[in-house]
Amino acid sequence: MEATELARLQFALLAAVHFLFVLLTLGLGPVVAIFNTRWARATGDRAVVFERATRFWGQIYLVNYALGIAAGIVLELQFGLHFPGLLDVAGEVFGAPLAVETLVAFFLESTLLGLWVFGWHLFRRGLHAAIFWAVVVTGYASAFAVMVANGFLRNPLGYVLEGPAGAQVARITDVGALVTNPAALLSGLHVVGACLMAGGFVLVGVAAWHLRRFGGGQRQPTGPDEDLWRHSMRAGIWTGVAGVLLVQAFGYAQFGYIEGGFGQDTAVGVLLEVMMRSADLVFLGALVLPFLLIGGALFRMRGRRGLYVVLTVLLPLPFVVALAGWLVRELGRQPWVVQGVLRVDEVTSDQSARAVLASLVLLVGLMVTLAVLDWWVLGRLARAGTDRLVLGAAAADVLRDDGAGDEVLLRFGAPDDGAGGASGGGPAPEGAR
Amino acid sequence: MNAAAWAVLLTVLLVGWVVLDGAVQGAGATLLQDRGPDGKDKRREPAQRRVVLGAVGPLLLPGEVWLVAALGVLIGVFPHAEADLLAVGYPVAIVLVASWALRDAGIWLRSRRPGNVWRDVWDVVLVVASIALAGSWGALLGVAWGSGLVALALGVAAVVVTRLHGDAVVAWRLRRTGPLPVVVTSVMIAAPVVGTAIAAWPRLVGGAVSEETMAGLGIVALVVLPLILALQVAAWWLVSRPLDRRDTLFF
Repeated sequence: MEATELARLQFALLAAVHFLFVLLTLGLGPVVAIFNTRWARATGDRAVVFERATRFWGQIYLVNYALGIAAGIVLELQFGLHFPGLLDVAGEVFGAPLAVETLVAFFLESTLLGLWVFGWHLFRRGLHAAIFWAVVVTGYASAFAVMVANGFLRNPLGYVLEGPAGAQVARITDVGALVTNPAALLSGLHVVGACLMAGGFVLVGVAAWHLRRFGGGQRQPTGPDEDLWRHSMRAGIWTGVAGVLLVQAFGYAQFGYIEGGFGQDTAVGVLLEVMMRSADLVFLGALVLPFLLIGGALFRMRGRRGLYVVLTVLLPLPFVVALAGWLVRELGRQPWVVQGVLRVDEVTSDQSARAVLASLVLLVGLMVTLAVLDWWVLGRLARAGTDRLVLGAAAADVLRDDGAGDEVLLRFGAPDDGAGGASGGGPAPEGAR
Repeated sequence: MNAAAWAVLLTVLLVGWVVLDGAVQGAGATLLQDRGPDGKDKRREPAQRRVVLGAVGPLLLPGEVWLVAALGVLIGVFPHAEADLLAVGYPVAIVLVASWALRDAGIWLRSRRPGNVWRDVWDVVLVVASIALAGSWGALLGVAWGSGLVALALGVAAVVVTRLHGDAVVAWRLRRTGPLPVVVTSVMIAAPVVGTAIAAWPRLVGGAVSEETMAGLGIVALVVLPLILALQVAAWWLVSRPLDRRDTLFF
């Protein structure tokens, strides 16, 4: 393969990995924020349920977020490494929203998330919940800024090309047109829908797996844990419903600005078909599932265990569909990097095919390995449920699990003096396995 | 904001990163090394490793955003300078991002599973990746000087200074020492960044975008700067407290 092809392939694979993490970050964020708020406002048994819900889903959110950042950093450097021509010609227009994204949205989001995790026992509950809401808002702002940059590539607006032929540079002429580009706005809302759908499927799939273990059948949940999974199931269904509605509405709305169609590539046609038919199926499910929540039918009806299995098995579906959708968008633009303005082969770096291949093997190999490990850990955490949650645990409990001696534990308080919002006595020592 | 102001902001962002994230890199690089009561080096116990990671843990998220933001400024304001730097420093930049991703994965994943094998393997990964991250950063600064020898020297210097810096921050959080050593190592770790910015100044400023775009982005930056600083101060306050039972030992 040529260096251009290798650079494209490397970017596509790294972006796919990053995108899979972003889907869950944006889809799960609002649900964690709602659980956190309900915990802050609740008292008694309800407070226990929502505290566990916040800690469990917050931990899933964090472990997913971690690799999302790493993959995003690797991706951001790809422009400079392999497509310097894009920065030279369109850097002003394409780079500006990316600069806003990193300098403003991501900077705030990540700092706030750090405050949320490490200020767990230090801030009042209401403030603590507000910090997570701010994480969610800045996360969505960050995604929108990226969509503005990507929207410019698909449907360039609000710019002018200046300078002599062969050395032209794009300049922003109309910030409003750049930001309200339908390829940013409509597609952004379409992607938000895909994210909420992904979050919904994960909530529903994990809750179904645990509910199947509990057996259920009662009108009332048997304890705080079953209550937690019922709440997660409800939250997941509503998140998924909101997601599929947005996906459908803004998916079709996008056809308005895509005048050039999706190119001649047959793969694009197949992917488009797969994506649209899957979304239709999810739409049908979204019509049925909310009715099963009436009177808690989903938790009591006959044959529910079989349904739980189906819901758990379907968990990866929205991720596959979202990848198909992203491929349709990116492949549909080829051979252009900026539709109708700049071709990919005009902007690729002078690195040799061998150098690009070496970096492809190293970076893609590394990121795919880390992503698979991360998903495996997420699966184990999801299965472990509320057992030994580290997020929001008392420091002494965590250290006792690590086999800390008295001289270490002394610094972190006596065993049962209840640091902050910790869950009381704490579990028995796990011992060094 | 003009090119000079943006170049100053870029330098400030990079200094912020080396000071904050350098502590995490240093603690990671020295994670397995401890000194016994007899003054001899020994392998650090698992619970003590958790304490060290707990000491620098709150710095990870508010720290690495500084380099991400610096990359954003490079792409948004100095795209031509970035393209020039990466064309020459291609292999160094690849090692930098690879070791950064590996270091992050090590910190986030090592404590997510029980079991000595899982954690011991990740701890070794963390040590190696932290050293590689510090070294490749120093080398990339050297590339900006345009000399392989300077790249080598700054790479080695960065590895050594981050270790001292990580040790100083951990010792301060455990209140074994006062804040003075942290100030000294912070200056040591920031000096090469400031020096490189001064040396590379003409090429950096020459690789900027148009005045209008810089001014437009400048307004955005000035509007959010107070909010960013307030949140950063809150994050630093978390770290300035002595490590105690109200800390969250997530890593």
